[in-house]
Amino acid sequence: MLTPAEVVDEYYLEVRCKLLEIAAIMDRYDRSVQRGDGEALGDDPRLKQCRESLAVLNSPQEEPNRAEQIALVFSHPVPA
Amino acid sequence: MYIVQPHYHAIARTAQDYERMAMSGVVAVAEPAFWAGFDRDYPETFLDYFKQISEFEPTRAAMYGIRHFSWVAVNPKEGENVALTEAVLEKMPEFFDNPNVLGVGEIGLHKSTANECKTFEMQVDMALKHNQLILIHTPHLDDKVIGTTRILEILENFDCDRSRVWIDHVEEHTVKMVLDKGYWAGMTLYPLTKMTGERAADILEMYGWERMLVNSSADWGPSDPFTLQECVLECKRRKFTEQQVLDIFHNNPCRFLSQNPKWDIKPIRIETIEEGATVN
Repeated sequence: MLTPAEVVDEYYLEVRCKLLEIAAIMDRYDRSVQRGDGEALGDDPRLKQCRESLAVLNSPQEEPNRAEQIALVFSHPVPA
Repeated sequence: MYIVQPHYHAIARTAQDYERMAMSGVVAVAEPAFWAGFDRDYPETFLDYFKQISEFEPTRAAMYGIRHFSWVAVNPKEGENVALTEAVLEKMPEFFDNPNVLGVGEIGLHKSTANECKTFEMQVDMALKHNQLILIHTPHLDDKVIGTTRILEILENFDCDRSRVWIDHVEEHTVKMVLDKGYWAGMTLYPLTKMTGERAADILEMYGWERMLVNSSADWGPSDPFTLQECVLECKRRKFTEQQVLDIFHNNPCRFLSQNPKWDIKPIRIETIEEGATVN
């Protein structure tokens, strides 16, 4: 397994690129709304899931399970 | 589809890349001189390298029906060595007479040191004295804003036709400063780590494509010449018309590079053919 420093060395550029990619997609959506190309999808559950996931990314974690939490954000709830 | 790869380091790529590019519609590539992955010690090594990219590579590309052009320069990283750069520059003008050499590039900055700035200025001066096109590399990652700003400051000291200068590797945070000054701006696409085809399509949507070039990363590092075709596909996904795509990926490189008359590939316009009409 990798040391903390090795993780950062190995994945820093990849994380940088992926964060930029997410930012660019969110900008793409906002510009489309600004252009009036169609109605804004303010209540679309997919956008809500994206916002929830970003909150998970940016929150302090007691356990390193952000990926699991985000996978659950994008999951249908299990029927009772 | 007709595509020009305006920034392609062929010596680091395989014949199979040429073959696949030809099959995907690439009609021409232009190869700037760049860093070999290590700092060279002898000016003669550069001269042999210039000979390789201006004489041998065109023959390799021709086997696949692709036109090959090149640029000569001491790249920004090795530009740190002023004495070496001066020695290379003594011989560099001989290559301007080669029928495939388009200009001086890629020059520019890497860490924006005093030596890099000095050798950058020397090469801009040489290019202007010999009426050559100029291709400028801007630093990657966290050095990009500082380096691009410094390059623009240095260019202010030269009386140059900005439409003959292409500043490459722009991203969201540097594209506007380059276009606002009247230079051509290039975007270089990488499989991961730097600019992607999706973000390049965003920039094309935001700024248009007048004085814009798109090129793939194609060198000895993590790169893929087909990131360019991915961007073509992304533009089509965004509802760019066939003519617009042709303008961006074929005609714009032709417009910039044909400022050197050695580049004789013309822009193309798509027309429909009426039923029964004769095609000449």
